[in-house]
Amino acid sequence: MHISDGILNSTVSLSSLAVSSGIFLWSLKGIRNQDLSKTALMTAALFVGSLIHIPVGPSSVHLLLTGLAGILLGRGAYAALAIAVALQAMLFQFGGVTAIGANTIMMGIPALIAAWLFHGILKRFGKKVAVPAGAVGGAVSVLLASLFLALFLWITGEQFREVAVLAVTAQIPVMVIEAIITGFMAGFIVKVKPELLWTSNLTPDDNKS
Amino acid sequence: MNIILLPTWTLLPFFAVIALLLYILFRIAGIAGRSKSDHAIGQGDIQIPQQIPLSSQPQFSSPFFCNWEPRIKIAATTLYMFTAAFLQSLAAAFLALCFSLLLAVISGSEMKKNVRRVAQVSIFLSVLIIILPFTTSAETGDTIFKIHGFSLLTFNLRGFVQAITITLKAWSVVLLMEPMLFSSPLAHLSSALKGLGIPEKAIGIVNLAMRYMNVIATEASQMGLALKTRGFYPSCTKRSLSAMANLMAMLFIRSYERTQSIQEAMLLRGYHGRFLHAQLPHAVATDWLKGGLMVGAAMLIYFMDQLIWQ
Repeated sequence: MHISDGILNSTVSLSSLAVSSGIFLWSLKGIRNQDLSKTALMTAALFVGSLIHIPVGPSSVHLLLTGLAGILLGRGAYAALAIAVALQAMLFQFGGVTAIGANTIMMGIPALIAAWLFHGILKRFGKKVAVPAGAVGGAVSVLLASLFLALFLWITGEQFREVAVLAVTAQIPVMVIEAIITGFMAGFIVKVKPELLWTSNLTPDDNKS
Repeated sequence: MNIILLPTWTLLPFFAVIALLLYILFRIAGIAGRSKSDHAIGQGDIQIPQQIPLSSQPQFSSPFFCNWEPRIKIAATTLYMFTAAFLQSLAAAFLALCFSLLLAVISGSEMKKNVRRVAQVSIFLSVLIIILPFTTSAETGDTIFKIHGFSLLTFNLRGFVQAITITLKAWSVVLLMEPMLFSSPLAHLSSALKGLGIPEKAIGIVNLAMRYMNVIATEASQMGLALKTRGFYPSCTKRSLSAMANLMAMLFIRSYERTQSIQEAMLLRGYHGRFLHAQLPHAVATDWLKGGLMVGAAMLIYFMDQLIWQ
């Protein structure tokens, strides 16, 4: 789910790049020096993880992992995803270099919202709901990413409106798979390595249960 | 509006050509018919690339790109890419593609890699080529093809031309990726990014992420192989998805555990929030000349697009 080069017009491409740069700097500011290596390795792991294909019927899908990025990195997820998006565009042509701003907004803002949702749910209900909270984070992140994609295509030109509708529809199976996988991953991480989460909102009692 | 009515059978060659082109693109891009050695786990399983194509040394040698001061090279090439992406006419997009192709040839970059990149981006864009002609609404002066018996199916030539223009623009950007990225050592690239005003922290993340990407990819392959030797076969069942999720979660946990030793190694080497960067060669007149040539070409094509071909 990336926009290639040449599709967006100059207004959309440059304004999204400007907005994205602002959020990127804000996100980067939130990463402490001692968290730099964690962010870098999570970026690399997100990059590798998003290349893994999950079979769906006769075909396969690859995960976006934006929800997971938010869950693990919180505010820093935007910067990590911006770098992952740039590397994907430069190394594998997944998305265009001239559409990096739009592609980063598409991935990064849903990650921030997923982080807020996941940690909000966990703070309120404890770690026993990590799997459904992760699933909500995963599903919402894909849904929002596809809506951002549709929005960018929609404002680029009337001829892309049907493509935008098609793009959102095509993401429904990805949303379901991403929700399931992110839910299981969040549950696993909360059980095995809760300190990997962005900020552990779990109380000591929660950790014991 | 010029309406041309076509017989129903014309749909067959249209879709046959599209299917053939897609098949060829998938083959070139390496998505179909990959050899099993390309992946740790074979067809039908979790597909993890074994190697991310990164190298600490320039991957080819050409006087034009390899001796070019990296900051000017990145700035000029990026400006050219953005200009090419914003062109509006088919003729200008074609001209931009010719210039990019010329530079790709001059750069000495491996043509096979360039073709693979072009094929990869074309797979995404083929959706536009198929859909845009049928979704572009008709305006005065448009040429519309209608298929006999399918009154709702209208093929707008303007939409088709626009899809081809987008494809040519994307190709002209993609062809410059190898010359821009792989004609300098990685150390010079990160120094150039610093010189271009990219924040120190971001460069640190890029450097470390690129350094460990292959390590993590190899680890993912090994974990996938271990899963396979235990009789795992991926499917869309709850059990299979749970196993794959656990594999990926373990990948993140192992990566996280590695960060501790990396952090300690960084501190031992005197890291205090700043990375040391390689000394870049001083820019000479030739570097500025090359930059000027590229920016000049971009401006020329852009103004031709705006003033002549609009």
